Amino acid sequence: MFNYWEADTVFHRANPIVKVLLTFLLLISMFFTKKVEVMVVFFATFIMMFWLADTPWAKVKGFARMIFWLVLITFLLNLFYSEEGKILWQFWKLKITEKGLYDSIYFSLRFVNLILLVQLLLGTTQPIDVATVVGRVFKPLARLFPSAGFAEMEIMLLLALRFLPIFQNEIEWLIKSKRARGIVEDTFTKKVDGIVGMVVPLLISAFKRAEELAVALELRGFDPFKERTSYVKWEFSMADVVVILFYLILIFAVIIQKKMIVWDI
Amino acid sequence: MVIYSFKNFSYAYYGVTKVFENLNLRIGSNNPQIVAFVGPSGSGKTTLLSVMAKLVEDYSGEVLFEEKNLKDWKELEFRKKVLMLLQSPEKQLFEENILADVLYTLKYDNLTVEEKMLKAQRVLELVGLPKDRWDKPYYRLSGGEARKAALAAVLVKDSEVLLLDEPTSGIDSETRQELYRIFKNLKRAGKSIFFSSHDVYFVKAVSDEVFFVDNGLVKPAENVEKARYWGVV
Repeated sequence: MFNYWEADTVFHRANPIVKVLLTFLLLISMFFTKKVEVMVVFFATFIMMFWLADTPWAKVKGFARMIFWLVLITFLLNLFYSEEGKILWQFWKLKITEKGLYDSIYFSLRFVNLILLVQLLLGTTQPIDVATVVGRVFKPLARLFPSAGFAEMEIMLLLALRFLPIFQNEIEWLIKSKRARGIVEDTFTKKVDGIVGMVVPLLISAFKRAEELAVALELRGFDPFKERTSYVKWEFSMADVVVILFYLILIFAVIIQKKMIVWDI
Repeated sequence: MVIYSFKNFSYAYYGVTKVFENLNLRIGSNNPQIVAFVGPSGSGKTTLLSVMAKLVEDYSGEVLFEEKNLKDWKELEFRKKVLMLLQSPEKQLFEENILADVLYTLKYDNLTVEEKMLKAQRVLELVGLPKDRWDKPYYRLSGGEARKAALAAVLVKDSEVLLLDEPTSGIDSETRQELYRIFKNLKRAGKSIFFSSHDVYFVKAVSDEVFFVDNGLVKPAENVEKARYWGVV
């Protein structure tokens, strides 16, 4: 889930600053519309973008299955919620109205789109780049309010993103270790029990790791308030133009639908 | 009968870095045996043991255990026969204290609490862990003690085969002697032990058979000490 995949595409080459800022803009603009049609346009465009970004579909399968259940719950919750509009189907106190159906399609699609949008960013941008961009964006704030913790935010986000795969690895080790010791979890209750049993060791190792990391950072003389340099130089390229075009089309779709711009020729 | 046969066995880390290629090998015998794997770091000793413990299964070729394909063994049956000690104790121990951790191995066994307790205490005494350490979590123990505790957590369950990944690393000479005694006792009790180690003297003293693991090959070694001069170990 939300994994980065290696590839050489327009989306991978594009400037991380551009990608993060546009993703943020699009996220906000998505909440400005209530039209299913716009969401369909978003969805279609996202699929096209994923296709252009060389998505390893086999790996996405499990992810898609997980989203499916969440979307189904979203859909069902919204389906029976609305009282307005023409009643399409009624049984005892449960009823599906026209508006309820429309809204539930809208909300499920928006939910899928939000996930796709974030996955597109994190699938094509290294976590370290995302964190660096966030750090740069917050830099002026860090200067203005030195005690508010904006300076530490970059390293915090970076570590959080960096440690996700490590924890995944740790969970795999715990499962392996149980099997190595001859503990076979073959029934459902045993499996659930086993998952609960892994929480404590994971927390312990997380705290241990955090402590070690803090010491290591200290030893290397890390100071969040110092000016940081980087060996990577981000430049504006053709890839960025392509990515910007994609995102701008979507943002314009919202603006036009909202009639924020009136075409008057 | 404890025999592993590798047939056209190939393995690559993440499907890229090749470790073993077309390996054909037969390890083990009809009698209890102590078998050692020696070789430089990164030569694939841990991988080999993990494959033998049915923990790594994305290899190509065939591995037979007791003339039956490893992949065909049922999890429950296999785990009754083969257990493994992982390289670092912190990956193997995770209960709040050592005694609880040893008992965790017996979690789903059909025994009364007293029987489980008795077994756990006996095994902790066997590995020579002092009583005042039993109620401590593993991260409060020294490296050698944690290793003993991890060994106890594996030994508490009776199995025919024990796979131990570097049981000798990070322990002092006294513990090494104890380990020697434990190995011999286990063999006398009818268990076969396969282990990897960098400790040539320990390997030489304890094992019935030694295999070199290097450059994707696993071959029997006649003279362990010679290997030291070659700089293999």
